[in-house]
Amino acid sequence: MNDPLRTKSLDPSLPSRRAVLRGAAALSLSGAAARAATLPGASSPSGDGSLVLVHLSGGLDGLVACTPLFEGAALAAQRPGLLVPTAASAGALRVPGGPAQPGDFALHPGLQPLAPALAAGELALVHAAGSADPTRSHFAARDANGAGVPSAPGAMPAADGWVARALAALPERSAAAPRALALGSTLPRALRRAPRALSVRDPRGFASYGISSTLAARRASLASMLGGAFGAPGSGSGTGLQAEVERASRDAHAAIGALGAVDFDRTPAGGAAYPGSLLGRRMFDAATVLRSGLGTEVVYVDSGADWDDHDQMGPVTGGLAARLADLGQALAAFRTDLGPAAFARTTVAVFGEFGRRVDQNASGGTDHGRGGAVLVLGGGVRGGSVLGAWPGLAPAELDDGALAVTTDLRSILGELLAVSFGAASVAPAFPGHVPARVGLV
Amino acid sequence: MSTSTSAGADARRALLALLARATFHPTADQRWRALVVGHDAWLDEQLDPFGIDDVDADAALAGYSWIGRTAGELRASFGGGGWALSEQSKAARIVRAVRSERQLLERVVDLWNDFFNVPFTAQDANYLRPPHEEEVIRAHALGTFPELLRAVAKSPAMGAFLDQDSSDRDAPNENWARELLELYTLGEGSGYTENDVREVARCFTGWGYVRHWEPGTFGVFRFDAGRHDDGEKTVLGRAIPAGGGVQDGERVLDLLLLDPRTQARVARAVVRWFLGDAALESTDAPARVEAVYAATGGSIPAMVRECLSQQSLLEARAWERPVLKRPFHFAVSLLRATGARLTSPTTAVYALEGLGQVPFEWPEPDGFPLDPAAWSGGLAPRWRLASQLLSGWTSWADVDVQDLEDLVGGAPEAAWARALSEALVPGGLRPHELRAVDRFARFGPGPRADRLVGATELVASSVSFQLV
Repeated sequence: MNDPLRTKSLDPSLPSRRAVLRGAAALSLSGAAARAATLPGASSPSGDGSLVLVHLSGGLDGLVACTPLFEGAALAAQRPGLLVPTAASAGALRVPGGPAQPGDFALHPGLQPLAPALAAGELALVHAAGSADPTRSHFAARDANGAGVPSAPGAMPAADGWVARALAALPERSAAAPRALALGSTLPRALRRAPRALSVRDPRGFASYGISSTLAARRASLASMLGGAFGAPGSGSGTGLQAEVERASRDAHAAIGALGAVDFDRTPAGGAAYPGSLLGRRMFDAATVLRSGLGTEVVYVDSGADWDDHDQMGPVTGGLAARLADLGQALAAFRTDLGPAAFARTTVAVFGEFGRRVDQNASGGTDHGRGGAVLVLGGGVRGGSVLGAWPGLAPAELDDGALAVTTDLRSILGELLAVSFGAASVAPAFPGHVPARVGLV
Repeated sequence: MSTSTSAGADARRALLALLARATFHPTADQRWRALVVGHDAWLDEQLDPFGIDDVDADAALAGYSWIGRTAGELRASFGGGGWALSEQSKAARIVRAVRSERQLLERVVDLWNDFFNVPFTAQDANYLRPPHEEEVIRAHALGTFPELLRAVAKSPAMGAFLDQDSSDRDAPNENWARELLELYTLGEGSGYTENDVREVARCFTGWGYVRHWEPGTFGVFRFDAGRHDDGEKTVLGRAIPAGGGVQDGERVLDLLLLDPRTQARVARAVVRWFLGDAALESTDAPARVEAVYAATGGSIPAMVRECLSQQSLLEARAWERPVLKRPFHFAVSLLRATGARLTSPTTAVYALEGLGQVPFEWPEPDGFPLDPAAWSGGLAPRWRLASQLLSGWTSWADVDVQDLEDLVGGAPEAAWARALSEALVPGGLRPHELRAVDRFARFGPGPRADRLVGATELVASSVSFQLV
């Protein structure tokens, strides 16, 4: 059913099915393939950037978020109840298609706050992007995306995430700050086993605890017990898990000082107006960490919302529309809050585990699909268009009812790693993956 | 001689591991009982929970008068969309985990609540989930897996969560069908196809429950023949003949329950829960538990008995291959170990939120993660919780210095480290941890009471207390 090779053959670095189907596309794809000879990151700046990953758990419907204006008839036929207004008068932003796209796109009106970023060339989208792993399971897809390696039957998946391997290949910038920070209660798959990775549900009050008169002594004793500053190195012997938890405890102990010195109750800069949602607060916290100069390299933000729109998708009003509006507002505020200098060193990727099916189901929603839309923002991003190649919406062009994948998510993330940290982090992050040039940087 | 001594030491370690894994923390009474009756007998007692007197927990639950009532009754008596009911439901989960003597039942309840995770997010969930907890999860937690799965499949709370109530023959919603194959039975990557998902979705069209605006009794399972796709289907290569009605879904469940992939997956879930990832790869426990499933028709007590047998714990060398307590387990174990009194369980829910794990709040079908690396990045809030609880700064639990003095038997400071280690960590602190606690106990700042609080906090913050 789901042939992994099919995805491979649609990667723009390789001869694609669409390229065979349409000569015009074939020409632009071969152009893309030629550019792929230039490794992503060749033009990267000093490598002192930061990467912010915003995850839309559940799977964003890319056709609602970023509607192909040239597919009106196919959309009306397959999802008549899920059409989004695409006129500028309705608040939809028109985004030109990139070299391998057959036409222009319109962003959902909820994303209207991103107009300044788009105009400044700091917002790009990639359409029909997704995992090389054909699974339509949330958990298997998240697992494969987070591992950075598609699952192979019978093979043990990599225990560490792609962010973990990328950071391990880079020198650390600070001895105390978390190198990877997840704003949420658990570490997501991509960050697991990363050096100095921390999950923080709420960074306010992270450093305060217990009777103040004994605080310093208790902290020193804890450090000693953990084999930290006052203890004997080597006390961390023991089983794998004991050592792992001891290391994580030392990192958390160091972070108490680092995060404790950051003011998370500051006023957003530049009049930035974050929405009152959990996503809004987390994007504000992410901006606070990046503005503080702690040296944190990767911040992971789970949107905190459920994008698994099996039912009542809207999409003009209702839950999905509200979430997109929240997302647009939070991202726009984040950009304003960071200001041009910090935003120039910051790259944001917004994605879910997969896209959704093209046809609507009986509940007014869509089931799990394949290709979807990825949003990329940043001062160093070559923005202003929808990149990627369009696989088509005709029944024969679909991947089992879903938009096919033409750009491997890893090709996107690899370019963002390269621009943020330099090219050395890319290959370790995605072993075995031959990146195809997307053109984000 | 040395061999028998070492065998005796291993048996004792296996017994401590049993106590640690079968409870949220073994009380002194439970340890004494297990020493008296022995490994197998203690395990059998726990596997027959209703043979265990549980007056304390019953008394603590007396205020939760909604327990045992139907969704319809709950909807009639709780307004405001039932929000207070959802909070009380989480509070009751905490009370049971902390207070019940039927500790193994409580651990198994958490296993199935993760395996069949149903959060409070769906429409009507505030009224549907409390009865789901009682009549589906708790009622079958130590029954058989087939009965449990069949109860889950018809549970309105699950139906609402996975959109089964809004699926119909014209465009089936695949949500339940996909998770049924992937999470509850065969397992992802085990060979079923996207087409199987769609065919299973067709089989379950019409399964739903009476919503609150519909005629009939709110919150009971209902098969709506008018929404059911009565055509022929093919599931896993087997034809499901046309005209089967509600039996289509039941036939799918039968097919899945007979499939060896389901039995293997359930066996591995039970082994992973109690013995951790290491035992999946390095021991024969999964194969033995799977054989027990096949021989007993999926008896859950029989599978758990095999998993926690002395042989399995010895083979897994459980004391050398610990698992990481998740935040809920951490908090409950700290309350049990210190003898703290839960004074406001509904407020305790917020304390758990600060730790990152509130019962029933994992939003997705796969349940709270078991990979220790998902949780090991968030240890600092545990230290804070221990500090606040032991300093008497919490409004939801009460532990005073006299409780801590009881833990150390009123002994001089030089004896504290060993006493606290014994009380809080079944297998004991490691030597360098003991030394750090001992130094603080004897040379730390402040009067005796402050040092006792600080020393206990240090044990609760140790790596060894995070593991079990």
